[in-house]
Amino acid sequence: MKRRKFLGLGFTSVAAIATLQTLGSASILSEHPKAFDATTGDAALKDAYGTTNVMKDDKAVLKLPDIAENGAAVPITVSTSLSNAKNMTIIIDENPRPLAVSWDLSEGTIPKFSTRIKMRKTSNVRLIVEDANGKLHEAVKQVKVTVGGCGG
Amino acid sequence: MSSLNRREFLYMMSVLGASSLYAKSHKRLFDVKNLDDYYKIQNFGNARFMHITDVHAQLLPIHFREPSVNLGFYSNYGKPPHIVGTHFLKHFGIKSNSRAAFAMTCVNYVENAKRFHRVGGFAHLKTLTDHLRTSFGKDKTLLLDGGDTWQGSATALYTRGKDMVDASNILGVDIMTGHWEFTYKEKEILDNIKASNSDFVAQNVFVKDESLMNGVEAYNEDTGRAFKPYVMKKIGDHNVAIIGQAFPYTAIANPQRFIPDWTFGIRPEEMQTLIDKVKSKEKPDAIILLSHNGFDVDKKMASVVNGIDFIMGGHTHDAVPQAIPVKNSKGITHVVNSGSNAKFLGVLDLDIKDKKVRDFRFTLMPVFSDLLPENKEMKAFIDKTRAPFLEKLTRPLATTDDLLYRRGNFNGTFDQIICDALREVKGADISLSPGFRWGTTVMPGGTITFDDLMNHTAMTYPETYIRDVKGADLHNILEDVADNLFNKDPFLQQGGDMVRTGGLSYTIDPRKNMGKRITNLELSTGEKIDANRIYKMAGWSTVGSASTGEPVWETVEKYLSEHKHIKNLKLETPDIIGVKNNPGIELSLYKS
Repeated sequence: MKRRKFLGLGFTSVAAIATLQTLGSASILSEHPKAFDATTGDAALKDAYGTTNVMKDDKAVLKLPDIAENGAAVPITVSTSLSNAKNMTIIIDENPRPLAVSWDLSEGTIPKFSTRIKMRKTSNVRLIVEDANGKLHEAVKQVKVTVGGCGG
Repeated sequence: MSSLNRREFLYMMSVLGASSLYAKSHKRLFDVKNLDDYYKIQNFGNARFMHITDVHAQLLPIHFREPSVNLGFYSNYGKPPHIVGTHFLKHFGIKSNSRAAFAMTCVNYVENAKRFHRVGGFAHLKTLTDHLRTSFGKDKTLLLDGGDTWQGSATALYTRGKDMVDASNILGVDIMTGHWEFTYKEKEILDNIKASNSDFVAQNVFVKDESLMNGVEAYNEDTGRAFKPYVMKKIGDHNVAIIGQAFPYTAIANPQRFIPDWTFGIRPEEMQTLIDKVKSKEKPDAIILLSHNGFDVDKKMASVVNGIDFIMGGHTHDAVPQAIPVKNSKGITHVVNSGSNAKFLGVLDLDIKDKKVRDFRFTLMPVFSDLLPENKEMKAFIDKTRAPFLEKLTRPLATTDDLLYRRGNFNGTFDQIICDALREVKGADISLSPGFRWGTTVMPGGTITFDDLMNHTAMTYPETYIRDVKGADLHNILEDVADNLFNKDPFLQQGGDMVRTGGLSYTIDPRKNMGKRITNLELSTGEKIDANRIYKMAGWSTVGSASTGEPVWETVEKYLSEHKHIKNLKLETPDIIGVKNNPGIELSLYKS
């Protein structure tokens, strides 16, 4: 399949999932509305999952540039090797509202998403994956947002 | 010791048993009386790769002073290319005041330039590449260009890089990648590539998803790659893959407004996937990466990616006469760099057998314009290209008592003129000028022509500005640029030098973390910079959006025509903490 067509499909299906989430009853947004207003990453984590205990292993996979070409739209791809993961959440610690996005995964969902995040400044970006047993797995990467270099 | 007098040329060193570093360098004849002897190297193996990079549109022979400051820290402390001046001579076993010392270091630069004259020039370079092609076998030789070819001179700017496309076609470039090429507009770039006889390769440039959706074309719609990622070449009886790596931070260090549809990055994972695919699909006898990463980034890439035999690199303008071995999970990748400004030609000969590189010779050859006769076809092309602009270009602007250069981690003397001009002409407290590594050298006692000025300023976003800046923001700008240069992780280094400052002095500790490196910010009056005060700041070359002022060459020309003569330039270089024993600085030449 051509990438252009695939991307078209991809955007459509993400939109569909988002709609389902909104309608669903068990989403972070509906059950933990404060998480999106938290001003620190750990507060958001605590409110969303009731704990800040995470396992730093290779189950959560995060793909991001080392330096952002544009802090207003940083491409990010998240995935997990865990089957039946329940939720994936992106936290940008240095943002005024660190919780950027949270996906509840229904059974059979391929746990891989690409999107754009907005970053105020250089920050750690975290992916939290909640597995079938409710345990949290974390991947962290720092993304640098520069004021403009002079390479040459 | 008499044989040491013959140590001018590095490729004879192994003959003399001088330095183990040259064990993999070409042996040559002892008699070095004329051109044939100077450039007659004993052929080795069965595949020859010639490499130029960062020529910055320098068609004519030039002077280019190598840096007196090129600091390395952490794992790169005291490692090439972070060895300069007398440290360089000692490390590589090169005799002072020899031709090699003149070509590769800043030591006794002015005196040596008087003896050995200019270097580079495309007409001279062509004589050399033709000679090396013919003597080795045309079917076994490739010429690679690492990019930064279409920018750096007035004529390149006036013709939107086309003069360099034509010159490269005459020279016979087979494969290239890019960086400053991307400072023209997308369509101009694609048209230039079409007009070029060489393959333009870049595995790390992608069409943005949004642009793809809007119908922007990609080289490969499945992968989203904007350009051909690699090319297979038959060389003698062997098939060699040449992968391209464009400058990863083009969309950060240079304006995105000219290339809105393309996104870059180092992309080591994509590189590994590509190498694995090339290996299984093409079964190459050797894999060469033509890279514009910069030396330290190439070294790190060689350590995290496996399967590349040689990285022929550029961007950081380093003349390193040695192939540096780097270990990775499956073997060794050698990294080479071939200087800048057509001052050097890298020559890599491989002995390939049974799908393996068995052995190699690498030699960094200086292009001495006084030894190499001009190629007539190239000379005629250069003359024809310059003719319409000749009167304008050769116009004298001022004379100078000082040696004028740019290259080095901190202010060069030509930058100082630009900074002084920006302050004076625009009435600013402070001026900033980017730490580019291109820009040729003007000799003391010489004339500064418009051509010379353009060699330091010719680019597609030369507009100047004057604006208010808060002391705290000024500090942040310096910290940001210092982090691009001195970050502990080479993948976060963008490869330029420190921003040049006028009317502003500071202290820098390169080993500190971002936000902590710069202290003691002071105006040239000695007054401390107040974080909350507003200052008038002038500058040029804005990456975000175009500034509205005149192009910087007009600012500097006005300044030069008023001052008429440059002497006793006060070089505004920072105090540096913790570099007393660092071989990346020639302390005797710092602040002079």
